[in-house]
Amino acid sequence: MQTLDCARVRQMIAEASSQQLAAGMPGLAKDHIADCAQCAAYLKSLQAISDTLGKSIVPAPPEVYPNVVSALNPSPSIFTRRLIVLLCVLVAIMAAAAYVWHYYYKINNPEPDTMANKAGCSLLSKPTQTQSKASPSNRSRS
Amino acid sequence: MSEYSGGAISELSDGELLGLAQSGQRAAFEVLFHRHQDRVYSIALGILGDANEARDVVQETFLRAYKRLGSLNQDKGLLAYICRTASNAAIDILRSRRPARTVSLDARFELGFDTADPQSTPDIQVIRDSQADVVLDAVVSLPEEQRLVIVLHHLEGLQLDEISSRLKIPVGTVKSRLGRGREMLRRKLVGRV
Repeated sequence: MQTLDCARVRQMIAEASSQQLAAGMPGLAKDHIADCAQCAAYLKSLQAISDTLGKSIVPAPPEVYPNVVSALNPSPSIFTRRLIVLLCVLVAIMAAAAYVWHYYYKINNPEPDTMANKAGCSLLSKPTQTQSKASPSNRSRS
Repeated sequence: MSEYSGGAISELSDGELLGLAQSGQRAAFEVLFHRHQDRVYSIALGILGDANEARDVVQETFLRAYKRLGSLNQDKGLLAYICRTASNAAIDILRSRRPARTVSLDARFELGFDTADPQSTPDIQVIRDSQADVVLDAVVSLPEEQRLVIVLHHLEGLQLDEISSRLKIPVGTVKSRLGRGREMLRRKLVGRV
């Protein structure tokens, strides 16, 4: 009978929360433990387990924080890649802007040749090479 | 963003450090990290039993905390949040490894609760003198179900009903796993297994 009671009490001790262990167990179990040296020793051993577990903190590996920091800061390779992409985009924008500027400049400031050709006016056009060569002889005949 | 200049930053409370970290001071976050990384690592290692996975969990936990700095409440326990995040991540990894094993309803009676031999004072001293890594090794060697409950209760500091809701198991099951785990641990630490 005593053994059975002890088994039940030890089960209660083993299943108790760490707070109950620290307080020396509640109610009936406490009364039993007061009269039973074996169960009192069992309680002490589980109190020791509970205390030891609470302090069982092992150091984290030293590389953890540098890994976290490097994850928070983009790595140089990623940064470089982003910079290259940004530069390419800038160059493309500048090339597009230059093309547009050149297009509108030509429209607003047409060359004389171009204007004459567009108008179909031969008078405004420069004399061709053959015309310019023939003109002095024509003048001498007249 | 001005740097903190009111004395040793490491002496500030978690709430104060969190406030500084939220204002953009990386040094405050670093102090918080170094203050809690060992506990977080121990919880993850205790649950997973694998140093590499535990290290990954610590990194993931603090990265997540950093990204959510703005939404963290200074009044609520930062350590509790970090520990919960870490243990949840570790439990997810544990569950993704293999399907959970089932334990028979009478499993707790298979081991018994040392009714035969009296607990000697030297045994208790052996337990108290055990180094943290030895104890954690003993925890890691426990079956998964007992190990989880032991870590959540003793390292994370959860109450039995909180463990019950976290693991979605009855409180009675939590108690029986805790009891079996402690008994196995006691035997391991005093060299009886």
